[in-house]
Amino acid sequence: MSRFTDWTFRMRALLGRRSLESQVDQEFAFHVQMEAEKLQREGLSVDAAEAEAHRRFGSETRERERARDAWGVGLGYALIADARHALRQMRRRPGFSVLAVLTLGLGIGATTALFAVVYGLLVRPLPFRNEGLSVFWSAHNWRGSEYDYVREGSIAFDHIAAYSSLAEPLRTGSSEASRLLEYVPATANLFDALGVKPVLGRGFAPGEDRPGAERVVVISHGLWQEEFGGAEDVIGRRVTIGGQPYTVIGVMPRGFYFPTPEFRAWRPLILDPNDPVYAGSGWLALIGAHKENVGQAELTQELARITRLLGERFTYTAAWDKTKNASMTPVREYLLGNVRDPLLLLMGAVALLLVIACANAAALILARTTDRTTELAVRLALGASHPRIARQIVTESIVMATISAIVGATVAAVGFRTLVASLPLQRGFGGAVSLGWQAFATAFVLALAVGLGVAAAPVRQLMRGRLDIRERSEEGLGRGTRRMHSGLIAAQVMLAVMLVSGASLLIRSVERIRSIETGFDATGVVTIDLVREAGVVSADAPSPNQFYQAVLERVEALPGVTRAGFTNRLPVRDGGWQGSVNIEGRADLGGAQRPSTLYRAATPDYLATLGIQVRAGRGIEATDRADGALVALVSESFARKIWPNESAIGKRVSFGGAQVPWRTVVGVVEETRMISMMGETPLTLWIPLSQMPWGTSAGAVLVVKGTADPASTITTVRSIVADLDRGVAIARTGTMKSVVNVALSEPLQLRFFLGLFGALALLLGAVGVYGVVSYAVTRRRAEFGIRMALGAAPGRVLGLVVSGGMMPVVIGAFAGVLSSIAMSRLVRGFLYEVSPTDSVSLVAASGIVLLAGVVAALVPAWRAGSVSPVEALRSE
Amino acid sequence: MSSTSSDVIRGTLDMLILKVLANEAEHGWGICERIQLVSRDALRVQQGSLYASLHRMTREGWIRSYWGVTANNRQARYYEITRAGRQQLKVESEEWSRLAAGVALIMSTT
Repeated sequence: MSRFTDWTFRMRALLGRRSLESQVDQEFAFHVQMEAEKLQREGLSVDAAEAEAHRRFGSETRERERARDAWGVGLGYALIADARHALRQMRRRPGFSVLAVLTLGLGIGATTALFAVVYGLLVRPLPFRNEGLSVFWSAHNWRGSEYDYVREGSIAFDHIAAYSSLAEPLRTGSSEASRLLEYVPATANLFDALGVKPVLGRGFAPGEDRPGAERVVVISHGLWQEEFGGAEDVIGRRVTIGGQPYTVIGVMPRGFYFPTPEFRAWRPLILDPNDPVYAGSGWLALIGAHKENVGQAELTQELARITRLLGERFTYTAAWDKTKNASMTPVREYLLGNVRDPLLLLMGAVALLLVIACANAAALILARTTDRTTELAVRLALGASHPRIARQIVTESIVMATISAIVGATVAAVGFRTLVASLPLQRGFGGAVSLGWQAFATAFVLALAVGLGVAAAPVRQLMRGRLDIRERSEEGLGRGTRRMHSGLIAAQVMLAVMLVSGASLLIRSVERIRSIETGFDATGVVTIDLVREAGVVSADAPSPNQFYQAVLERVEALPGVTRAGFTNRLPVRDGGWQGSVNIEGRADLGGAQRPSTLYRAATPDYLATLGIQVRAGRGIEATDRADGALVALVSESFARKIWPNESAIGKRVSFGGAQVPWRTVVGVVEETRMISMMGETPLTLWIPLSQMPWGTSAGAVLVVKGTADPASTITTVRSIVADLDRGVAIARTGTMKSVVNVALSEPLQLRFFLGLFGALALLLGAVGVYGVVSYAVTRRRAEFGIRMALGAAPGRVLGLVVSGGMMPVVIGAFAGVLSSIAMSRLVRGFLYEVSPTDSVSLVAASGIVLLAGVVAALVPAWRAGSVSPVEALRSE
Repeated sequence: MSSTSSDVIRGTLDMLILKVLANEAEHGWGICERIQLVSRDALRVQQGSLYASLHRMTREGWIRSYWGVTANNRQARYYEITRAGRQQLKVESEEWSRLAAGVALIMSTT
């Protein structure tokens, strides 16, 4: 047979299905009629002949199906019919269908959305060299001198680049307004190390990072589009960054980012050995691309060698010792390491939820299939084959899963941005993930797998327990079916307990975290980040101090404003500005033993604006002028640690190199949270902003306390700033409350999601228990009727049902507690002062789930108890 | 469905149908009748399952069907053999002869 005839036949058959169908019917009818006539001729009566003819022909239904199979379209056609049948079935039981579709849809949707995030961040290749690129030690504490030394001394690396990050106002061409540009100053070999070339123009030339080089900049594709409309002649244009003129020399490819998507330009970092910064404090991150043939063993050797070289050349303080804790972090881990763990935790939680939803759907389908044994038995008797019925069940669950996938895809599409926005993704990564076709493909593949998996149980039941169908009425419910039901419920309950206990652990952590004393009062405080251009705009422009003073005077005069102040770094939001401090007269704390402190600047009213108390001595005052006596304040922990048995007041300290003049400690400041809500707060040194020896030109944070609406305060401050100095950009604005919330956001968001998943798991678990118990009750109505007719009290029947229904729940809850303890290692990193095997959480979780189970079992049980015996017996 | 010893041996139904159709085109019932008649009632075709075979053989391209009118003026679907069908018949009957000869040999010697 030629393949062609075969396919044309099949196509004709499939397309002309209806006519073929009627032709077969006609053919069969003709046959039976001829046979009947023959039998009549042989002497049978009309009726008898007809009956005999039908008997001889056999089951027309079956023959029709066999004929259909013979056309080679049987499957395709049957699937269409099955799908229609499935839809009809679903419509007939709307409650069941909606429940199953919704639970599966939610599970699939959540999994899909999270998968898209995980794929975008953890699986998709980075937009630069993915292999063999590592960040040296802990980033952003390398000095220029160390960098040059390491680069010259390294053997195993092709390129070692140094970079940092800055935010400065950008002005393009004649445009008056400046916008804040976050960019990366980097050594000229950065793009070589990353293995990426610009799509337009060129990258940095060697030597462009040395003193005397032209100022050039490479911009991101996005910035090129936004600021230059994608114009080809952007190369050679002049822009002003931080008051300095730069020439645009290149545009990076679309989708490229480094180190994170929020940085939109790269310029050479000028390394000048004559600049005090070169050998001053460390601020650079080092990233190296090792040679191709270098293995892990060679890298370890190289690490040891570099460490030794550094130890020979430099002396380190204990806090900054680079000869210790040397490590190379693969770039992906460095950039996304903090994102990975919470994402994987959520992914795990969502997977659990999906499994619960599947168990639920499987239990529902199993219950329904058993419910339909009569229907199935009739169909089998009419000639449907077992595989045929199995196919029907599979089709039904696939139809259900497909609808769920559509629901899930919709959930994912609608909720994706919200999900991304509320995930703990910092630094612009939210924009780097998107819901692509892969995500939807995942949804459908997932649904298909779920559909097949869910159908497996009832199909196995059907294929194995052929006799069950006939014995149904005697036994009520097959033993195997019952056991499978109980297993599904127990599994569901177990997973629900795991999710709920995880959620309650996080909830308890967050309660602990919430009760942390920040040491400051965030109420009614607005924060505004100002960034000043470094270059001199004009001769009569105010100095930074004059400018800050002028801003404060005008802001404090506003109605509704109580206080205002400036600082260099906002508490619990900003890190940095940390270094070694010299203590006068303390040889034991000199050299390598120098303590590490935070270095924070403030204007006189700053501490009062945030409600931070001065515990001893005085605060910063207006008389602490740049040309006055140098003063400092220390935190309580600073005073306690350095001068345990004496007063800190009058002691002298200095921050920075050896030539930095001493400052007299004039006050002790209340201990406050400075870096994060949960970690240790380092010792803190406060100085007057007016006495900041360097760096205030880069920018400062204005805090304003008042009763006015934050938005109107921000607008007013904006116009005041623009009025005073056009070269100052407003980098970001917000409230101190939101700063605190952001500091708490990761545990809060995780708590939110796990809480949500836990609640869903609980709901699904309860639905499952309810479904199975009420199903069993319906099945055993007659039995209950007899029991009550024989004198059993309704309460006893109720107890019987509840205890029967609760058995798998209790087993599941117990297993859940055990697995929670076993899995506790996974959540340890997300907890704060709560043990991962915290008994309160475990007891609460299993208690809540058990309670949900009891409630779910009580409803149908109560119905069973209220059944009138007569009615129950009649219903069979 | 009743299953008697006179049912057509599995696998030979195709051959018998082809053989019947090799003489003239016939409808399903007619094929049954002819097999029964020619074999003097020794063979009986399971009537319903005949059609699955007919449809399968149509797909194979050994036979084709058309709607025609019977002697007493009824609409019926007739099947006729194709060139490929004759080829197939030849192959099958040769195989059958070999098989039958083999079986006969064993039966006669024992």
